[in-house]
Amino acid sequence: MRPMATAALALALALPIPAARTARADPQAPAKERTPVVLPAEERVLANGLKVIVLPDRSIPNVAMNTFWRVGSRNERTGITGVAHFFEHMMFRGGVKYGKSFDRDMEAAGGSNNAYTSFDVTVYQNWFPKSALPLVLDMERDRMSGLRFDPADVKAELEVVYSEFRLGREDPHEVLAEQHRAASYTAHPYQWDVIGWENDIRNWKQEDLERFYDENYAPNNAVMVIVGDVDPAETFRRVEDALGAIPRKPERRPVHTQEPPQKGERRVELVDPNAQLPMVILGWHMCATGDPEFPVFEVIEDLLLDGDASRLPRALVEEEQVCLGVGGGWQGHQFDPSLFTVDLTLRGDRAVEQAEERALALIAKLAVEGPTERELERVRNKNRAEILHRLAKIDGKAHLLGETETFFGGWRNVQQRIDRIAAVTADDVKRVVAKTFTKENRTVAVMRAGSGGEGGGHAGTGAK
Amino acid sequence: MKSALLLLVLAAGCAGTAASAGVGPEELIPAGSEFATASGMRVILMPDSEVPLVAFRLRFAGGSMEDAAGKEGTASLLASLLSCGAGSRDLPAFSEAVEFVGGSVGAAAAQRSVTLSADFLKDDGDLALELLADMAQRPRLAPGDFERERALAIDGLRASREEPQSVMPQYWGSFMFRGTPWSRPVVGSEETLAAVTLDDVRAAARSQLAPDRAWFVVAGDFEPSAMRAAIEARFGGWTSKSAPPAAKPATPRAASGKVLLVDAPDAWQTFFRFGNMAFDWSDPDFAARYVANTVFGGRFTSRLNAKLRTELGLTYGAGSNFDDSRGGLFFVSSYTETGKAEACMTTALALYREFLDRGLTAEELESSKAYIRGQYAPNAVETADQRADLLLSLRFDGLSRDLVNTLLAKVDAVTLDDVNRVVRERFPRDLSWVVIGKAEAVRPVVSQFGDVTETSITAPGWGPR
Repeated sequence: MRPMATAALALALALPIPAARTARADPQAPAKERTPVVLPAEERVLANGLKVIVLPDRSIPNVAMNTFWRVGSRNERTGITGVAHFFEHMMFRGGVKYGKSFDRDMEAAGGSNNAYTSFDVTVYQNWFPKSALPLVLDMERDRMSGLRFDPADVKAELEVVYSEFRLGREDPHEVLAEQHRAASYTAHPYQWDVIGWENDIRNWKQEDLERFYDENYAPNNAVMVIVGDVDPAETFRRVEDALGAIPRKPERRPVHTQEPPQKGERRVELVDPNAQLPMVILGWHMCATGDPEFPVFEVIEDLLLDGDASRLPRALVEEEQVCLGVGGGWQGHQFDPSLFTVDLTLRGDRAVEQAEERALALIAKLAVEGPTERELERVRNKNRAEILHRLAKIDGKAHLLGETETFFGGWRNVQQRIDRIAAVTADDVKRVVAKTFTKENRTVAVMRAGSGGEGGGHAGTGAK
Repeated sequence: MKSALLLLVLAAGCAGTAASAGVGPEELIPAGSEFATASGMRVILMPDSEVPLVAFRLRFAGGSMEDAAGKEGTASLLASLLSCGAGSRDLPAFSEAVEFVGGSVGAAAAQRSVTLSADFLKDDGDLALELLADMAQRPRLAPGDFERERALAIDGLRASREEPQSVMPQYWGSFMFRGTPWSRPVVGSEETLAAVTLDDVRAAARSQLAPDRAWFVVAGDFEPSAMRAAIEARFGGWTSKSAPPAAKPATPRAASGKVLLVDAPDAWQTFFRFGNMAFDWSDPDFAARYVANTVFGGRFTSRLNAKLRTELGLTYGAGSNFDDSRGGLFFVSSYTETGKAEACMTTALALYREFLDRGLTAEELESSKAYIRGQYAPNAVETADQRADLLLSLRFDGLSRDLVNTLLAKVDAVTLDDVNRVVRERFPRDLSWVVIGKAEAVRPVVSQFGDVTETSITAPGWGPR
């Protein structure tokens, strides 16, 4: 909030250094003075393996706690797809002490919470007044110490998740993305959506939840980030008291399945009676987040897809008016090799073939000509601004620290993430685009509008 | 514990020293400095150096209330076009200028206003002012951009009909306010957008984008005297005069016991809202309203969500809310699979009736107060742009920032008698409904709630013909 410039930022912005000094940038571009982003957090690793990161920020008398667990739909297998996400729901109603009253007790103490599950991680978020820290830690202790499920709760929550599943299936884009994903992978668990397949959702058993918890919810598999109006030493002591006795668990068997290289284009054609406009998703296999090449894909996304000044929106939405909207990019932070997609929603009377051809031509042009230096500078500036915007809220800082710790080799690497993007050159972009965005490596999913055969008014002119 | 909590929150920033200028003792929204430019534009500066960012919000009275009948969506198209180039920059040059420095610029229409917004790094504040001044004083409003934006808007509305939850607000506003100016949808409809011409948009720009209609709030990391001088340089010579904005029309109650059923034959779930006019945030009972609605439908463990979601598993979400931009229209909303629509709707209604009759318990009252105290800062006033948005909305409604700055004290002072009087006497009892779902399955269910009128989700417009 206001009066105090927080200690965090005051320190963070203390030492000006030239922008992008690792960049092989245009030597004629004046080097802007840029203060590096340093978040002066502290860390402790408890004896049971839980890593705790604390960043004091007294701008508001509140605390944001983000706990990142290295478990997601990637840790599932056929038959129990979606169980990681279902489990996330059950974490709010399974603790021995607070099982039935977790949310009620937290809200009565002025706190609120949420959680999300991705392919790779499950993140639990608590936002509360600083006075509630002891209670919130006790609640985390409770649900990290073992769960007991009331079958009636399991049944009710299953219906909640099923409603969530159906809500997504009202959206033709989600339906298309699900089918695109399923066609893109043949082996790796990234092939199913985080929400899971319908019949798996309908058939989970309570023992599936219990086994999933035993295998994955270990303190040595988590990072807890606490940002807000707290004293680090006192907070570490409180966390140690609350969570230190939770036993470490044996290391899980790693997810060893690798997606075999794709050896030719795959195509999926769908018709959804709900779809008012045609859509196309183009996707290519790309590297994992931890790969040195990942920043090049971050830059490619910015060049091609992000903002009105980027290449595809400018050409396809603005100039040629083939598309209503363009989206996609890299698919979130992932431990294993991932996908890069280009999602096109067409104007009602345009042909999917035309949109697809134009998108591919624009990508091919980037491989041949590369980006201009001004485009690269735009990407650098935009990326840095995005990080700074995330520092405006204690919750933004907590999530940034947790994400950087989990996917980028340690929470201290926030500035390094900015620098790595700044270091990407035009040649890097050309090389990676040429290598990745090939026909053999491509999966295309198409949604024709309307109910197919009827032709219903605004079906794509290319519909057969 | 609860009183200790209160102390902590209200004492919050007292510990803070004046690292940023012009900020007094702890207030959720500080005074900032306020002045009018030579051209008559009202300006509020709220310096805060926590993060090296600056947020700009420039709001004009006007908006879709001033759209001509049959041309609804005019103000919305104006807003779209304002980000399509201004001054000497056409659309490519404009978006490149913004994105090159990692900034963002937007414009949005509402029923009674058009708001320009810009968020930039502190070093780029002057560019932000230049772009905003161009948008307000020298918009391009070019024919090619107009044709494209209008076609995109029409296709966008068509695509929104794929998802019942995204069109619910259109049907709800049209139905609850039918016969009044408030019923006009900001976004227009496919038909009315097709009737809008570029001349209509230019006329809207001439009449609405004028300094005597404007409030300008700047919040974030800047030096106030330099910002003031820069604003005077960019906006001080702006002489455009406008007609006075349309007076705020009354927000009447809807007739009781009416149901709009929107047929979505392919929808698997049924979406519903019910409610009626209550009162807005300027009312002395606002704090009690806030406490009451938190308990009934304003948080995860609210009675609605606890029953419909957590206990019965009927839905992914259920809640209740007030629309303060439209007189404080109250509504309950949820959705469920169509086979369970009757259970979900009748349970929600029964919960609401019980709430009206019995009000809150003492325990719920205390829990609600603690929740509001604990959540208000991060949700409403943590960042400079949150405070800018809030202050702008207050000022625009002719309200003082005291409304926010005294809110937590007022919440704490709410007694069980107060809150239950407000529930009993001021939450609406005469309810109307909008339901979107497969009509043949839902029709027999919704007829118990009143007289049913039907339309189809693919029919043009947002209500019965």
